[in-house]
Amino acid sequence: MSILEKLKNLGYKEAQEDGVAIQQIRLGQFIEDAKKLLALFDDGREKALGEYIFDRHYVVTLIERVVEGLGMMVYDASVLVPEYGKEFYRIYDRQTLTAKTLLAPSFPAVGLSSLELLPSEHSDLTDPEYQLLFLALEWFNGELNTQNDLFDSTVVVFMEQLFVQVRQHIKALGINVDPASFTPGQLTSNLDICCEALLNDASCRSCISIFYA
Amino acid sequence: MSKPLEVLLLDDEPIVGKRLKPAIEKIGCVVEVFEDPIKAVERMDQKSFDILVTDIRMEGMDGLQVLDHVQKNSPRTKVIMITGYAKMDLAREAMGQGVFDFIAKPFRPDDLRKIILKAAKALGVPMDFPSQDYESTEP
Repeated sequence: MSILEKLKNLGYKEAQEDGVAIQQIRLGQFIEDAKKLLALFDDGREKALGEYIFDRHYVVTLIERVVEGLGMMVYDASVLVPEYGKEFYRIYDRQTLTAKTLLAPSFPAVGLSSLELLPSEHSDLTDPEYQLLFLALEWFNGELNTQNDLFDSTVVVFMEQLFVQVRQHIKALGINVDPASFTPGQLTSNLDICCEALLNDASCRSCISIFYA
Repeated sequence: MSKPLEVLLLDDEPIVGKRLKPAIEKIGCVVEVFEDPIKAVERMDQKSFDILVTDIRMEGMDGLQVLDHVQKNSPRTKVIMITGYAKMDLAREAMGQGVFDFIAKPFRPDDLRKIILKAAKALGVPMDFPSQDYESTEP
């Protein structure tokens, strides 16, 4: 092999390594964003227990922060799996629309009350702020209620879809992955392991391997 | 039995007054709740309160304007400001104007009760209730 060919190969290898490094960084960011979203859900659930004094502003901010965090996850996922970017953003737009509907001054629509949209176990909620918080929590990670058309997918279901696509993409890169090791329902536990790995090890490569271990 | 502490609670979000009133009454205070700052100020002109708990951000008259009014007309009244996370700049401004303490939403009623006890101590008003749980941790 001539020196020129060797140099060409070296350049190609460096570019390839740069690409992998960028993907690793983006995956790390993707996981961090997911972790932040889960922390927001926990915060909302904590406030819903009734021990806290909060107002509508808190719920509005919570919903806005979830939309923003989800947008960051979608961006990361679109960089990692560009061929699905359009689809990711299409679903994200629907999620944003749900948030807008919840936050609209005219919500709930005439003839409907927030309570009618909530599961029956929350029928004793009288404060509109609590009703809005519980509806937001339903949207984040509740049981899908097909009787109302407020939302057709929860935020967590969408996050899981993103994770599945990203996982498949990482697998396609040639990293050894056991297909049975990750299912959508395992999002939280896998995420915790992965985030711990991120905290303990600066290398995203080890994070990827633990994520699929 | 000592005279109960008179508290005026002002927040334009009804849920705050609704949930806080019973929580503050539990420690032996007499609480009047207002959602309209103008009406609250009118009431304070008629009656002197030991403590004013007020939101900082309200329509018509904000917490700083209410604070200003109270300091001119009832300087003995201790003012506790309720503020949102994003309004810390306003909170700092209020600190410079002599507000007794702050509490940021969301908060637990117990957090406010502790501040009220601290204010009662500063006013020299003894409180008739089991105080151990609510003693201020400050020296």
